[in-house]
Amino acid sequence: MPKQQSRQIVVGILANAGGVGKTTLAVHLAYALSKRGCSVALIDLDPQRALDVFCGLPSVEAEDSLVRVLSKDFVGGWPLVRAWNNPNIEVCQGHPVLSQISDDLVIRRRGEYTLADRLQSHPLRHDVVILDCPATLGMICENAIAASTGLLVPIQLEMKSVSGVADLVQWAIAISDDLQLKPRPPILGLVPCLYDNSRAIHRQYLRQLPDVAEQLQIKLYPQIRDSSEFKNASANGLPLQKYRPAHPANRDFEDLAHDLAALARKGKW
Amino acid sequence: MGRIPAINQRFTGAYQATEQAQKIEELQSEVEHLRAAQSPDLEAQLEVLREQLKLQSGELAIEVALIQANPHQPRQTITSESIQTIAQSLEKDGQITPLILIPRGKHYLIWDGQRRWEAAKLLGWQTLQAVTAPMPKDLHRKALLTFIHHEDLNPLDKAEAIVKEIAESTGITADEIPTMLSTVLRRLERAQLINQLTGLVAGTPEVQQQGLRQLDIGEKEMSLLLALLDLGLNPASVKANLLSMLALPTDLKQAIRERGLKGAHALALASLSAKTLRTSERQATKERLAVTQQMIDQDLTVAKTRELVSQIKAKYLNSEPTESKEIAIATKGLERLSSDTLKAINQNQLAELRQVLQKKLAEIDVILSK
Repeated sequence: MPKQQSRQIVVGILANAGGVGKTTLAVHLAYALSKRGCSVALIDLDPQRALDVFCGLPSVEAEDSLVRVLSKDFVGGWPLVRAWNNPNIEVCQGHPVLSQISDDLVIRRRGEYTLADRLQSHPLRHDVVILDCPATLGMICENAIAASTGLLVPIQLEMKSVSGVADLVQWAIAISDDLQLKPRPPILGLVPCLYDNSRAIHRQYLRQLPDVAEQLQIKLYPQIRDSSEFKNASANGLPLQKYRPAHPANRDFEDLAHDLAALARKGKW
Repeated sequence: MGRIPAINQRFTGAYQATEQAQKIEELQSEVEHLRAAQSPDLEAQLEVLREQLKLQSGELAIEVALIQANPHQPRQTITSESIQTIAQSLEKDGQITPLILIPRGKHYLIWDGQRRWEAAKLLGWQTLQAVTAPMPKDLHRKALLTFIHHEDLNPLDKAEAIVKEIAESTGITADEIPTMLSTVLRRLERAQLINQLTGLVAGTPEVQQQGLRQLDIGEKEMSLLLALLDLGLNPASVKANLLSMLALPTDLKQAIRERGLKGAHALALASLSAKTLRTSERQATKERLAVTQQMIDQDLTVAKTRELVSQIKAKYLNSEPTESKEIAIATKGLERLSSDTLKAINQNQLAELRQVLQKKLAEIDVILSK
């Protein structure tokens, strides 16, 4: 038997609440993975196209965004642009029209599987594909689940985000069931984001999380600290690793990047 | 700090969903495991065999004309549609897997690949790639065991294959088997021992033998039941579901084989016999063929088929000619016309009567001669 070849992994980053750090996680993870020798495609499924800001990219017309990929008459040729002039990180940009496409997918045949079908018939060359999803669970997120080999869930240690994650876990299981995904894309990890050690509620919920994660049978990753430098970096269209290479928060992504790189290489978690 | 609500409770639903999903996954993998253990994967087995034979004898190009269908092939039903599909794929992609053949003198019997062979004939191919295997001692039994639990084998083929195998292994003739089976089962039913028999299906051969001895049955009956149990079959369900197929009229058997008529539908149609309809064999066959066609065209359910069947029955049984009062009165009236009366009326009226009678006689003749 031939040795197991490396296979592409598709990681959907989902959170059932806004502003919890999805795009921050996507961007910094992409950068950390590229440092580990993986090529990464970042796909922006969010009509708010936050990825453009974080990658320092000018916004594009619908024709040059994911809108074209999801449109009925896509014939191949993903619109990809390099991020930070790094040949190993390419971005498929989002566009506000995505919200209309989402409505259109509802009535289209295999609507929930459109993204999965595109990745199947017009494969990307990258080792890792990261899907940055909108905060609202809907048709676009269903597409992300159907296309993903695994999911990552950022969680902010406040009640709104925590509640959102609880619902998200149930929803992901139910959708996988409805879409008859075999195997069901597992939740690869819970990632506490925007962690502020000076806040009592953050400290308290962080202590409670291991128990929750264990019962959900989901791996809990080390928290990513909150820092105003993240905001400064994204204002400059850069990841923190490039903006402040010596910043301690850069190390917060290492465990996760290590596991994903290993998964992409071995095809096993 | 204790005033901040804990997050654990918020996750109750998520915990339940996780647990449920995991249980379902476990069950599914268990089912898969059981299925694999119970009915050996046909394709995988054939693949192994094919590889072995390729190593032994190498792949050969065999003339299509020298290949013969295996008379023991349990899959008697091969629809022309499935052959068309295979022919298309042969033409498009070429032959991917070699046939498995058994040399017999100058000819070759098909072990695996009957449909590819039929398709190749259709395409006018001269040769097919094949590997050859030595003639197995119990070709039929082996083929049967591989096919018996295969879902796409229709009940008629199954029944015939089973009867053939039982006849070979027990020496009881194929004609005797259905009668003997129903007799012994009816007796066991009366003695309320059927459940005891059914309980033996999962037993070891020793347990089966011992269990049968306690049932007080004859030697031949014993070997018949033992042979069925040995094939992993429940004798009662063989009788109910399979042997009834053997008694089906030819047109229905043909429809099962060639047009994919289902067993339950066929049984419903079989009640449209000459005897129940009180009509000729030919007329009954005609009715059956018409309903079969309708069923296949409209993809009717068993229930709908039964309904249709009873409508037809009603049509036949109600249209039975009834005695008519009108006729009785007319006959009596005619009889009452004495020769004196006839003599007394005028010639014109008499001629008129004769004309009416002659016309009626002609009509009656036509009806009676049908």
